[in-house]
Amino acid sequence: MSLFRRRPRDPELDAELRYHLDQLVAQYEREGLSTEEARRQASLDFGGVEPTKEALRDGRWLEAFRRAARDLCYGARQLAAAPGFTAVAVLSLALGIGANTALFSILNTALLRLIPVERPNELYWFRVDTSDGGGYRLNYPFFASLAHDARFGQVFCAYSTNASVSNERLEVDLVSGNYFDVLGVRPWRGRLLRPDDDRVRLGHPVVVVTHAYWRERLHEDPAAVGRSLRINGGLYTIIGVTPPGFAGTEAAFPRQMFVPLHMKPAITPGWDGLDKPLVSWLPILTRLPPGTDPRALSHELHARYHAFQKPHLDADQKLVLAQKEYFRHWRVRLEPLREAVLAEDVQRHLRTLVWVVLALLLLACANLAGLLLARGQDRQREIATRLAVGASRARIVTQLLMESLLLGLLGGAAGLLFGAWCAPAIAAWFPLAGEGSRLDVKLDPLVFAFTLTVSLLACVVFGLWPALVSTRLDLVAAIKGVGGWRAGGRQRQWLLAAQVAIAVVLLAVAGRFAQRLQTLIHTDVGFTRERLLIAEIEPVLLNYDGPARIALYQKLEAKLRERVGREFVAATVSNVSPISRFNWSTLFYVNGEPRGVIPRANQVGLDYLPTLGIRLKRGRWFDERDRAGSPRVAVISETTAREAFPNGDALGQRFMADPRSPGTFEIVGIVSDVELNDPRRPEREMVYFAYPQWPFPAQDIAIQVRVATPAAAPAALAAVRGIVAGLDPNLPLFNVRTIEQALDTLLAAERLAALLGGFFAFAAALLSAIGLYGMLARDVSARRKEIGVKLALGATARWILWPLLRESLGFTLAGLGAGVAVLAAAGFWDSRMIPAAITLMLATTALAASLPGFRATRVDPAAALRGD
Amino acid sequence: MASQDELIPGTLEVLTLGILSHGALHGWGIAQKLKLLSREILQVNQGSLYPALHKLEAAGWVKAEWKATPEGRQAKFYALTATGRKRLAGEKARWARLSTAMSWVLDA
Repeated sequence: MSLFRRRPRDPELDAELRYHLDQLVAQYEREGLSTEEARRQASLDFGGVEPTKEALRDGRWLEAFRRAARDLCYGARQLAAAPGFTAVAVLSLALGIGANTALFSILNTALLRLIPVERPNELYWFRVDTSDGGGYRLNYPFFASLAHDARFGQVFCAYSTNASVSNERLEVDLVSGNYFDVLGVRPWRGRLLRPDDDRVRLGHPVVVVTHAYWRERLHEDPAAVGRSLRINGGLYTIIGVTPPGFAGTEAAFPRQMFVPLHMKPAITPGWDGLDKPLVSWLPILTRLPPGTDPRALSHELHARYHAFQKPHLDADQKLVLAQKEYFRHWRVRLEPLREAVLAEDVQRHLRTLVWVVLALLLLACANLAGLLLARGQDRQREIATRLAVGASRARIVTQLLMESLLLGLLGGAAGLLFGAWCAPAIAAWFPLAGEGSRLDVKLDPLVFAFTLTVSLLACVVFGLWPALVSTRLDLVAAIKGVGGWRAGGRQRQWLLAAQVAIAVVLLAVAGRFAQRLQTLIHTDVGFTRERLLIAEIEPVLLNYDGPARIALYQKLEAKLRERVGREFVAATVSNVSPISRFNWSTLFYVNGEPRGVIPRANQVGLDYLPTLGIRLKRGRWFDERDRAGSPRVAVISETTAREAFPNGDALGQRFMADPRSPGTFEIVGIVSDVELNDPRRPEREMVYFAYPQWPFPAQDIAIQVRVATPAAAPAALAAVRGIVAGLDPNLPLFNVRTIEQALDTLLAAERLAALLGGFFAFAAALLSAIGLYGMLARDVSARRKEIGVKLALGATARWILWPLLRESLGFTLAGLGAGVAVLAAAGFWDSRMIPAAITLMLATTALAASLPGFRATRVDPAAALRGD
Repeated sequence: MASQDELIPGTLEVLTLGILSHGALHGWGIAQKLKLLSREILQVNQGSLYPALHKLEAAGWVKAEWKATPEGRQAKFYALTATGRKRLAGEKARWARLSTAMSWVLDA
């Protein structure tokens, strides 16, 4: 056995020294010595070469590097010699590091790269905190009052809306003239909007399209600039194209075009609001110069806003007192744009996931440490021999570290591949605001750096400890091969317990996520969700005003009715689309007394009740009598009836829904409760109106069609398309989906949590099983001799297995207990998920233990006793 | 042959840098030049010279390159780097101070 390899030759150094020697010989020859004499003399003068080389090698960086390379080679050979160990270690690391890489690359994209403009850190929203939450909506006159006040930075605004562009419904931003200048966006073609493009109300029919729109719809036509686009029926000149990658301030919510804010009345037909100081609709942003204190400025902004608002509020006659109070309690402040672009629930899930993947990494590292400890045990004799012949402990520790470094690099590389593979998959599940939005996850240098750092850190930290344990030896015992086989055994058992604890926690939490998702999907929402198709139209974009809109809806209803029993079994319209984030609420005054806000108000068609499968409890549903001019009626849900009229029959009662539109509605019917919008937020108070009677007819409407079988859906959809095209060929049909798809979108965050939680939890269980398996397999081989003796003495399987499994079993149970304790301490107590997690963990453990156990009973006593 | 003295420990480094300040040289050349310039009082054998050269190289004060010598053989030539030049200036000043100080002490 060659423990110390001969030092490799260094040809360069040899050549250098040889040159010197030859020169010396030549000098002696010149002095008149014979060649042979000269050589002899030169050799004498020159002295030994080896000490020089030795001196050269020591204390040199180069040498340190060479030694590291040598250790690395040595480590690589050692790893290659134990492919099973290497594979398990690398796989463990790949899982742990891959999960972290994937999540980091998503975070990297989501948080660091989501705002594709110059210096996004300087951008702030004007955030409004109100008594019922808040948002980013202010008004144009306030913006105009700030526009030339440099104290608040470069103030700009962007209002996102939908518009019908050449029969397509697109996301369009209405922006102030300085929008592109402040963001620092340069034109790709033509020019972008300038302050002069946003001066006169309705005076600037120009549009800037995004690169994506230019590519997909205008086929990169260089002559497109200068041509016109038909937006909501009006002609707009394309003046320029934004550079690739720019689609508004939120990459996750891409816009297709930008129109000057002063074109608002044409882009949002039906409501203007540009000059209204108390209508909240306009998000205002600013770019603050570096060094500004946003907190101090927030106070100033708040004072400024209320100074602006007060005279308007005092002068307003229409607002009721409660509404004025509401405005007076607004808190206006600056919020970094970066914090605002990711929806809060997404941020919350991301944070949970960060903990989950860190736990997984910890598990992988525990596996690595356990494996290295076991390996240290197996190599005790080798290590002891090397220590005995004088190798320093530091030297051996370094060498062992090199080995784990190699493992770390391999695991990191595998993890990078794994992460790069699953990051886009995870991102695809990611719920983001805006339709058609997606997160483009890219692997950039930052991700590489992250993965490298994690891998190296994991390996150094979790490799150092086993290396230290393995080199702390009783030399004599170790060399003799007796005793001492337990060194590191106890640590490994603790590791096992920790792994089991982490895995059981992850399993229980993942189980809970999955259970919650199932509950949400299958919860009884009060209406029949199966086989329901939804599609929306927004006729207001094509300038259908109040009466024309109602006429259109009535024609639509009539046409739908004609097809019932053919392509579909029932059809209706309503302004709230089932399972969506959008709904309407209404004020509710009884005898002039406000009874608060009813959170759900729905303008519906006549066939709404049968189509949705909602049950009529008392009174009547809407019918042909409930037309535009006839007495106004409403239907309420059971909960509304109970809450609003606690001590009396709601039927026949009257209420006022909007102080702007006097006149009351008579309650003619009570229907069963539904959770129309969101199964996560049960809002069972609901008021239904017949849409022709509502004073502000819905600007967009959702067509809902029930089909007989899922297979009938395409034909039904084609029929709906035909009907809509028959009404107005320019009317775009959008948001076409089944209720299941709608539910998928709505519950995307929950689905993501359940999927990833499950995936990571199983990975965790797998990792701890691998750890246990590795440990037991190693113990069995280490104790072959002992097992052989026992077998030779006629031991039964139980006698063999019990001592082997006893401790691992004990520590597994301890781990389970610790995991459950952690869950209980964190307030997570689920009487179904915890036993399930424990059962699963025990089964995994048993499975992991069975193979080495089986092998133990198969030891051939004769072979075992002959020795290694 | 003139009488020879051991180098004062730690001086080989600055002497080498000084010799190289006149141009790139190989190890043999440096040894010859040291002998020549010190009027044969100072000599260095390869056992000290090459480790010192490699140390200077590792420190970044000199850089090495294999080049052909006038007689057509390949030899490793060492040359000063910019940082080596700076180092030399500092060391020179230190030696001037030291030797003056020593002579003041010894001549007193």
